[in-house]
Amino acid sequence: MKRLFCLFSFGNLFLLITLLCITNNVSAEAELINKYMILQDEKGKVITSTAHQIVAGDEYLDSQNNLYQVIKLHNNTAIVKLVRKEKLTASTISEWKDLWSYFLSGEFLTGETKVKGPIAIYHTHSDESYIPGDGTSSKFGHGGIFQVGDSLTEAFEKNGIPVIHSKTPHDPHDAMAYDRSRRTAVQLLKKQPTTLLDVHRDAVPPQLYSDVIHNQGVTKVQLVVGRQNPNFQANNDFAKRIKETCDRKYPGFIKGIFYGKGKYNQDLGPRSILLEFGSDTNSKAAAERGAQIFAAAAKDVLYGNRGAGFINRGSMRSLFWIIAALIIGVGVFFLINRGGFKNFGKELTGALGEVEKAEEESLEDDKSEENDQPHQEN
Amino acid sequence: MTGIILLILVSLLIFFGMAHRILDRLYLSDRGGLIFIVAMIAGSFIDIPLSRMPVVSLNVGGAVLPLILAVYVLIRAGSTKEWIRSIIGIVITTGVLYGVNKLYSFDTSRGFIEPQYLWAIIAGVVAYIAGRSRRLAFVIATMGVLAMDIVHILEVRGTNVPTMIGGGGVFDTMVIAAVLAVLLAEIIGESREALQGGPSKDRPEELKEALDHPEGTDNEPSDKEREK
Repeated sequence: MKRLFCLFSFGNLFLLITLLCITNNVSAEAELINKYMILQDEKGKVITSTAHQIVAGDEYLDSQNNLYQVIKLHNNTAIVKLVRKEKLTASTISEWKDLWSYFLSGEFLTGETKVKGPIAIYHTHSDESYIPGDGTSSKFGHGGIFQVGDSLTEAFEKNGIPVIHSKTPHDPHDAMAYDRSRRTAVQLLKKQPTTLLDVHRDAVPPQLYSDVIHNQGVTKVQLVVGRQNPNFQANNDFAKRIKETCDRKYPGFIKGIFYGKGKYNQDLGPRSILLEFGSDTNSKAAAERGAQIFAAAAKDVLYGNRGAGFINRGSMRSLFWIIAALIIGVGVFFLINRGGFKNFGKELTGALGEVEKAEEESLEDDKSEENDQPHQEN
Repeated sequence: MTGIILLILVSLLIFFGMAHRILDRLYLSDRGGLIFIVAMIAGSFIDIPLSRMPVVSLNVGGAVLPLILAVYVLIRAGSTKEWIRSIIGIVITTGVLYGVNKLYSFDTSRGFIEPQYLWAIIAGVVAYIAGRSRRLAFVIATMGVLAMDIVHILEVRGTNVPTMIGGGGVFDTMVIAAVLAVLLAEIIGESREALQGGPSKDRPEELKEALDHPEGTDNEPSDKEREK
């Protein structure tokens, strides 16, 4: 009875918190607009500003491929150190393997590309909009981000690439938005796409995303890779490959790769990525032009065979870590649950013994049936 | 391509291996568990439309089958006390999930943990506090996520936002949160028992008897019974 009372108190406490949440439901977007973190190195050189919630240990790959790590925080400043300069180019062996598979596939002789699945585009945060263009940063169920998706779709289709663009809304913009968009992503995966793109926009000062290409104002693109994700290595290599391909045509157009604390449904496949086209304070027209530039620059890696070896190596690394985690997990499980590793062999032979026992039993049954049959005939 | 194919295969094997072990704990035999997983995979391709405005659909593999199993586990619950605990657990979990969903601003730029893991942690912890039961963790996680979908239907009424309950099939939050919640309850429970040096000895005789001879099993009678 005492326990039931405790449970009720516990429940009431949470219901109270819930009520407080309803009355103080401050939009996450509104919070982001007014809070920035400045990332600077130990000499005071500003690396970038971000609306991202930063903690020590976070990493950021800038447009120059410098990988930085946050070492300490002071008010709205994050002190970072340069970890290394990343090499985004694939190894020579990997490039040769790509070329070899291109010859073997027969595409070289026929000049035809194998029929591949389309590029699938969806929007987890379907409310995201651009103040210059939409008049607001958030439109419930039909944000300006849909038009950026349309621009991306048109640009791919101009290059002969089939696209499925899902405009399914996942509002409200809360923590469960990714659970809802996961359902859209799975529905899209049933159509066997080559690549899965989740298109967003950021919420930082406009100058961080502003760029000029072909004398026109465009927004840059930021790639986001989820760290709490079993496919991290594969997704990360995919992101690096996209960046490297775009850097060749438009250096600096990819703002950087941000490593977020989530998985953003990237566990659904190694060729799945989150893209941010500008900020809510950039104009929607610039974001649409940015989408067209991105489609033209990244089409070979998003749809073609280019970089297949590179992403493949990422998958192998993911595989290694998954197996390592599995071995550690099973080890800890045996240590806690089964009284240490001494019983591991016993458990294994026990399981096999069950099979043998079952086989013996079935053999015995067969024998008894055989014995019964002549008896019945008699 | 080998790496990508191997990665997908191993991930699936681990996920379904875990799911199989969890189903083993839910009054299902090895074979029953396996059949259930196959049915869930096949059912992932079937969506039952429930309403056109607002659009609401129910996926067989991602919602109908896990819900049937949760109800089955509830029906098999031995006592009224277990029923009450389950209902309280579901109510608390729904309240907490709703509160956290609104409080926790998760985005690419905000948040410290993937929400899907957070829902599983909430369901696992509430289930352990409410009933110290792995089965209850499954029931609470499944029902909690379902309740959140019902809340969502109410929240978006009058708009064009659809609710695809269990639409992610076997990879839906309802399934993943349930599997992880049971694993978590198992880890918490086993670790606690290991730390205290085994199950507590002052458990009621009735419970000991029920654990020795669970209903529906054909365990051999104990020596005590033989003597009788």
